[in-house]
Amino acid sequence: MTRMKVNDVLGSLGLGILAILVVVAIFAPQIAPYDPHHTYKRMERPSSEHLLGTNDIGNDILSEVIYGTRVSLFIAFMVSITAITIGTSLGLIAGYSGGVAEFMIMRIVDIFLTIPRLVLIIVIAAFMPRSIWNLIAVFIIFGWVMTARIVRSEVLTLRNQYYVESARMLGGSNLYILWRHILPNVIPLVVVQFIMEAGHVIVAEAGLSFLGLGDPVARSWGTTFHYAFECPTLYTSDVWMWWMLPPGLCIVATVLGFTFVGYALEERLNPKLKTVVGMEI
Amino acid sequence: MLEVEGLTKQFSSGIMKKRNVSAVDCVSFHIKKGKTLGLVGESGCGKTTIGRLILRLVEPTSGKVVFDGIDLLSLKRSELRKIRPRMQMIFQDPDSSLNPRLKIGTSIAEPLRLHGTVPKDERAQKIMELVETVGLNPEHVNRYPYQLSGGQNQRVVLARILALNPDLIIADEPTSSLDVSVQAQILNLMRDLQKKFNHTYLFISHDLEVVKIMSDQIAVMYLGKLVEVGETTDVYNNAKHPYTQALLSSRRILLKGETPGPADIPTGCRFHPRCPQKQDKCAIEEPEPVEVEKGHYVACHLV
Repeated sequence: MTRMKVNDVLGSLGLGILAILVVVAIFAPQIAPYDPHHTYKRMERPSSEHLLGTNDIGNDILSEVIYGTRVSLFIAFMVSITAITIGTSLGLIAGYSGGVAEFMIMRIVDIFLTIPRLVLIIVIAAFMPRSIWNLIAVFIIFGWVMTARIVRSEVLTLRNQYYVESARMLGGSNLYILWRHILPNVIPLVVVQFIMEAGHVIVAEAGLSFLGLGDPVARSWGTTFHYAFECPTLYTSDVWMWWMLPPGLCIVATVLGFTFVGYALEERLNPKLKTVVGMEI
Repeated sequence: MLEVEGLTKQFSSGIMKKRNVSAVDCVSFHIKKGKTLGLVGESGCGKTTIGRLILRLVEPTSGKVVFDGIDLLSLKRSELRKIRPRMQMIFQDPDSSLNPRLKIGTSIAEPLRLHGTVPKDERAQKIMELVETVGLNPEHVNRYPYQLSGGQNQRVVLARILALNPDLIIADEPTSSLDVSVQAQILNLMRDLQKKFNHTYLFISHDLEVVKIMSDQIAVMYLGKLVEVGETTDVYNNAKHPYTQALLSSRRILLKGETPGPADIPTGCRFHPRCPQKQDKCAIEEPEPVEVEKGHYVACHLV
């Protein structure tokens, strides 16, 4: 199989996974058998009534995981959309205007890039009230950086294209040129960044929630993980099989989905990668 | 129509130790309405920079550019944007002069949309007119730049410029990336358009044959300075500057050495290290332009 075909297969696979997850997230109330906050008998083993059993306070685990899809995906998409929009705007400004604005933006980018992201996110999240919105805010603060850098470098080459100079001579304003001639040509890069960022956020959010920094009310997969770990009999019995494994697999599947789609898109949209022959994934 | 006086551009580099590179040094010429000035010189001598300076795509260090009685360098950005449609530039590479994501028709419509001179419902018809004027077919309108040849794309660029009905067109090597057969077509088209619309051209090229066909006047440039300016026939038949003579000679007078970079310009006459007729004076004193016959200026100690 050629590299291109491998990518197409992986891309469709990723798209399939993401589509299923989005459907589950949207229709969680219809799909989930129970209300995830309702308490039943505690620590039930899987049965026809509770397919994945119940947890230490008696919530149905399957429903919790299904509703968790909502929380995890919501955080991922909210962060990606906002962070990528901010990153793209700043990248456009830095690349196009040059001068002081570019200097300032790029120095801030440099500072952010030298800071170990996850460690700082954990520190900040630890000091903030535990809520979904605070998590989103913390991820956005660190999420825009790479996009700004990538967009800016692309704008630097686009800015010197003859058609951009032509547009200026034809009487186009800077805003017009950015909107009409530069933005459409950076969109492919931005889309790939969006997908990749969403994948990152899924992992980071799961990590934070696992550490107990997530929202205790809106439980994501990571939060389920967290409470599972607090259970003293987790390792001495087979409870982990229905309490830890399902949310863990969901996290892995989501990240794989985003990654596959991201790589496939990058290959499609970046002509420089198309000619690479040899190495198959 | 266009008067350029003492136009100078210095690029500086380095933060601690400023180093100035003078790309264009005190260039003066003028073009009458409906005429063509051919600007000749080898690559890197500053020809393209002159074109950009006139349009203020690059800001000049000093000098004066007067276009139709308006001093361009004193204009504010907003005033400049108003006058820009009257001066247009054609670039060397037609393929990258068009946004690859826009259809040909959309590209041609761009100036119409920006200036709103033609009402929306008449735009399609205007585009068809323009397409026909530059010798393209109506079906080209729905294609993308990569589906057309270089010559066809250069026609599209011309159509887009014509939409603005400009007075001055700066053509920066408009045919140098095209096949020879296509070159002739584009040059003929440009001459026909000039006759029809009374355009004034600044025609920048390194190709002497092309410049000879196109120009009424010729300016020869070496390392950022004009060394000889005059009517095309005068310059071709009676070249005074040793550099012009070398360029024009059919036997190809071979010049010694290579062109120095604009960062280290020789003292005195900047051509002296390579000049076959060099004198002692040339290395010390910079020659001023002298009028040798009417409208024919030469900057050389020998005349």
